[in-house]
Parts: sequence; structure tokens; C-alpha cells
Amino acid sequence: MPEGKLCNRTPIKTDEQLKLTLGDKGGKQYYEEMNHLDVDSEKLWATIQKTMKSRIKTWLEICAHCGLCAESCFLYQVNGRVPEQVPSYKIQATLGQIVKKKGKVDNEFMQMCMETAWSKCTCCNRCGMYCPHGIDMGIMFSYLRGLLYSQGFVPWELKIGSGMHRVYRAQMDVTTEDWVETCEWMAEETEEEWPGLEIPVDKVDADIMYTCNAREPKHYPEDIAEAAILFHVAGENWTVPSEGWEQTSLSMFAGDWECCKDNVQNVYDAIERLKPKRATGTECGHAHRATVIEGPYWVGREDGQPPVPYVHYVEWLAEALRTGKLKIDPSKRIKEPVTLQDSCNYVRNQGLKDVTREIISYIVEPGYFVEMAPTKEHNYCCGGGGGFNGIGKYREQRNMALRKKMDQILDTGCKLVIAPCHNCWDAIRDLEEEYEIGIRWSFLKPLVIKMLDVPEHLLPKDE
Amino acid sequence: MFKKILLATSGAPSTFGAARVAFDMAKRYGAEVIVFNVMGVPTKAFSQEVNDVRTGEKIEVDDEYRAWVEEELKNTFAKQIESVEFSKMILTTGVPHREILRAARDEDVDLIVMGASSGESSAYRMGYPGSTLQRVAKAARCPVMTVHRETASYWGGFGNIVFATDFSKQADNAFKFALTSAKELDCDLTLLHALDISGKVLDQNSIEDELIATRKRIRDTYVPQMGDFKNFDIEVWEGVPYVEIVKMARERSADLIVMAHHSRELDPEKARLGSTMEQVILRAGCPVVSVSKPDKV
Repeated sequence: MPEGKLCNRTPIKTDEQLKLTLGDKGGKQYYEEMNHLDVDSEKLWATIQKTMKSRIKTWLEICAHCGLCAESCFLYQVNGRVPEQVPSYKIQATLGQIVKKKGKVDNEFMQMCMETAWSKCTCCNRCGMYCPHGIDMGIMFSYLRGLLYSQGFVPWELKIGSGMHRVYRAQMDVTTEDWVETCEWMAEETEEEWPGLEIPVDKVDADIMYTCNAREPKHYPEDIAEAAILFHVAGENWTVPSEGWEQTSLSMFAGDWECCKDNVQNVYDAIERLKPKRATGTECGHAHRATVIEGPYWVGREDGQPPVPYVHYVEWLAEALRTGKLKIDPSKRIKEPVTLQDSCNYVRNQGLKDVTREIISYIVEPGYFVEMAPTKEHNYCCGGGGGFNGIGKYREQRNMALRKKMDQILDTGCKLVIAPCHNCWDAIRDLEEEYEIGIRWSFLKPLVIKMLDVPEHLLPKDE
Repeated sequence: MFKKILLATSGAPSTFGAARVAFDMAKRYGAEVIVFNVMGVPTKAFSQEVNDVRTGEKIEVDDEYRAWVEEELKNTFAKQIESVEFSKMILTTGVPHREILRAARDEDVDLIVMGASSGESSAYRMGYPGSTLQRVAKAARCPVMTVHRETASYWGGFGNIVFATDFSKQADNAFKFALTSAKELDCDLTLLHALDISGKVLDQNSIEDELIATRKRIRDTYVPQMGDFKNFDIEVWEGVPYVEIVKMARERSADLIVMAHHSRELDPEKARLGSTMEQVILRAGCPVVSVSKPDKV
């Protein structure tokens, strides 16, 4: 059958198409149409020839099928250690076959690939550390997702997610006006408690530009207020852009490469326009991966770097605490066993493991911090990474995936989990909802604000 | 003074009292009622799924669902909607306190009326600490009226207002609201301070000295602002503040208690415990208005 009305090879580019797809509750019609979606083998093979570079070719070739990656995959561990969950098998049976067959695969095969790419891999890249050849199945799965997306085989929510980015240049329907209005609102709501606090929009030549996740203006604008409080107390000369404020990239999860590039370009344009000395973003893992780690390559920057140094929020926070711009009242430090979730996207992928621990050293009373096992770059995915959290079709598999993190947290004996990543935060929240193990979880911002030693001149006058 | 009233309701019986008061006020004073409902609380990362605020069930909000909720609310408040001249309905999804504040700001309302359900709905408590009321009262630019007990909602217009002060900056705003209401609606106004002696053993003379001093403080602080308004009296009662405030309201057959909200505690869970306002709301036999900001008084 030709392409469906909702499930097709064309990205969502208009608000109308977006609403139409959204209106299809749970993607019922969408997935039904998918059953009849033809594979355009010619186009698929042409895409592969054009985009599959030597690294992935080599990886597919040299995999010795030794299976050493098996135990490294948390999804293998929690799913009864079945061979179908061994990373090398997962990628060879999907991408490997598509390449071998020069794109001549059928609908059923593509649907199997979709299920594998989005419910059996979170692109956490842990396997790459354990493969004797350094083969990173996570990277290959990201690539496979791109191929699948281009053929229309992508989970409903992610088709919508990248559609949101294309239509609104944000992962949710937040317009520029909504965003600027939200900043004003939050400044208004916060300035009484923090006299002089501002959220400067489009200030040129600031020391640091802040970007965030559209869910914040949409549902939790407190997060923006919290960021503002910390910048304010630290005395930062900061700004947010009116355009290019959205740092996340659901299109990366979806495999919508064209849109990925646009996401990043939009942020970089803001940097070029406002000329900040540096940039930073909210406590989000994948946004950082998209904008800072992979983004420069997507937009074709030869140095592989964003236009200005772009630090993760934890780097900014650690620096502010280290240099004394923010001071912690030692009596308010956390005095209960507390553990830390390492976000794959900036810990394993960028090596920021020590930065988060430095923050811990300032905000947790010595002796109360408990590491998960394994930890740092060896830590496991939260269980909901790579888009897994948001896909209704794979909810059961996702809930199963949460078990690894649950066991890790239970083993620490902690009731409080610090999760400086939107996605990890969500997964841990869902984990509690699903398994009720009696834990609390938090971003860093609200914790730090509670324990700040605020200089006299920043406090409200009459109190 | 009440041109636009935002009635925040889940549609559950625990908010019927608030609805009764909101519509009665609108009818009496010719105001517009905006019936505001948060259909669901976002869940599951970026998916479209939300938890229904009442049942906790996972739903996807589409036009059909929206129409159904609208119909339900219309049926629930049918008679009341008919009784007022202007009303409209706003349905949305999001975190309740945030969406109430957003709507109040967008619509520039003069008063938010809501129930103070003590129901701990797990549907949206996950990850969002603190009660919806606590968070709305803290940040709203306009006064927030709460109606908790059933008896508080059988109300026949304002005649007696009790203003309870703790002399804070926010209490000044609350006082202005109480005074304006008393003037415009022709009410008696009681200015009360509840002297907190809970947990202390004090010598009676020093209690009495303090009562006298506080009386003077009320007189010095508020009376100069009264102008030609004469229907007021000043009381200072010693005891546990929330008990004294509720007792005074009963004694005066008050139909409105006005207080300041100004918890400095950032952690809403902690602020909630022991908050005088929260306790008064739970116990009072009349609507309670909390005022924090000076904008709409």
C-alpha cells in the first residue's frame, strides 16, 4: 500500500498534520497504517550508501560475535538474559541484515527493527565500553533509527515529537510568545522573595546564555525560576534567548536527522545573535548530547565545538560552588543517605562524572553519599533513555527496564536520589509509581536553593 | 470589587462548597465566574498521556474527552451557571497549582475560589510536593478564597468579616482587602490578633500587658487607614492562634475570615504543617480568604 495519512515517510511539517496525528489516540490508526506501509528499498539502500560511513561499516564487519557485550546491557540483564537481547545480536539482526540485503527488506522486518531500535536499546552506549573492539551498538542504533524514520517506521510519539520541533521549534507547543511571557511571569513571581531578580531576555554580550527544555515553560516553569534564582545569587550576567531557547532534541530520539540539525542550528543562531561568552543549559542529558556533543557535527562545524564554550548545568553549578559565587550553609547540607544517578548522555558520553561528585561534596554532609554500583561511566541507564519513557507502545518493556535502576537504588539503601537529568528524573519518578519502593528524587536546583547561604544584600529588606 | 472570579474545581464533591460560594458571590455582586478545570496531570515524559485528576486513570485528552469533561462540569453546575449573568469554562492539562496561577494571570481575575480538598490524590502528588492550595496561595497576585467545610458554603452574603493579623507586610495587603470589602459590602469588621502562647507557661500579668500592647499596635497600625469607616472593633485573644481565630469567627457569626499568606518556608511540605492559615481553613465555618500580594486588594 502507498503511504498512510498519518504513518508515512514524510515528516510532520504543519500544525494541521501535527494536530491530526495527535488526534489519533494512542496512535491506533497510525500503527494500523504502518502494517501496510511499503518499504522503499531503493531509497533505503541509496540512503545507506550515502550516509553509512567507514566507522559503522567497519563495526558491522569486525564484530566477532563474541558476546562480551551481553552482560554490559541492562536490558539483557533484566529480560532473562535471552540471546535476543545481546547487543551484537540486536544490531546484526537489524541494521546488519538491512545492509546485507541491500535494503531489500519487508514491512514485517522493518517493524521488528523498530521494536528493537526503540524498545531494546536506549542508546546508552554502555556496550561500547565493554566490547573488545570498542564497537558501540548505541551509536549504530541511533543510525538505524534514522533509517527507520526515513521509511516511516517510527513510534507514534516520536513522530509527533520531531513534528513538534519542526512546527514549534520546541518539543512541545510552546511558542516564542509563550516562552517570553513565561520568563516574565516567573520573574514576577520570584522577585518578591528575591529582590532585584530578573530573567533577561535577549541581552547581548552576556557572560552566559541559558537554554532549557520545553517542558519547563509548558508544565514546570518553577524550574526556570530556580535557574534564575541561582544565577541571581551567583551574580551572573546571564540571559535567555527569545528564539533558540529550546535545547532538547526529540528528533535525535526519533532519528529525524534533518530536524536534529535544525534544532541545533536554532540554538547556535541565538548564540551568534546574542554573543554570550559561554552557554549552559538545564539539567538535561540528551539536550546536552544533542547541542554540545553531537550537534557541532550535525551542523557541520569543523572544530566539532559549539560556537562558544557550552557547559552542562552541573559544570556551571560546580564552578559557582567552587569559586564561592554560591555558598552553601553547612548546617543545611543533606544529612541522610543519598545517591546519584549518572546521566549516560553527559557522564558516559562526555566524562562529567567528577563534576557531579564535586557538587555532592558541597551539598551532602560527609559520610552520607552512597554511590550506586556500578557507578560513574559504568552506571546503567535510568531505564527510560533514548525516548523509551515516552513511548506508549513499549510501556511494558520500559517498566521492565526500570528494574535495573530499582535494584541499584535499593542496594544503596538511600531514600533520596539526585537525578540531574529530565529523562532520568522521569524514569525514577515512574519507577516509584510502578514499584513503590518509597524513594524521593530531585534535580539539583531545588536542593541547592534550599541550602544557600544568601548574602545579606540579596535578602528581602523587611524580613 | 469582584468582577472576575476564577473557580478552580476538579468537579468533585469536595469542591461543591467552593462552587456554591463562587456562584453566590457572582450572583450577588454581578461578577463573572470562570469555571476552571485541570483535566489531567502530565505524566510519561513527552507523551500525550495524563493522569485524570479525579480518578488517577491514564487518559489521552482529545476533543472527545474534552467535550465529555465540559459536559460533565456543565451538568454538575447547571443550575448555578444559569443563575449568573456571565460565565465561561476553561479546561486544560498540567500541574494544577501552576495552571490555576497561569489562568488567573492570563484572565486577570480578582479572586480565586477553590476547595481545600484534603484528599491526597496520588495522581498528581508524585513529584510535586505541597498542596495545590499552598502553592496557589503563595504565588497568586489576587486573593484566594477557600471553602473547606460544607457549613462554610451556606452563606448569605457578607455581613461580618474577621481580619486576623500577624502584622506582617502581607497582613497589610490582607487588611486592605478586608477593609475594602467591609466598606463596599457594608460589613462589620473585626480586627483580631491571636497572641500565641501555645506551649509556654507565662505569668498572667505579662500576658495581660502584652494584650494591651498588641491592642495598641492594632490601633496604631490599622485605624489610621480606616478613614471614616466606623463599623470595626479590635480584639486580641491569647491562645493557639488558629483556635482563637476560628473561635472569634464563630463568636461574631463571621461570614468571611481574611488572613495573610506569607510562608517563607520554601519546602511546601514543611510549610504546610503547622501553618495557621491551613488550620483555619480546615476548621472554619465560613469562607477564608488568604491574601499575599498587594495587586488586587
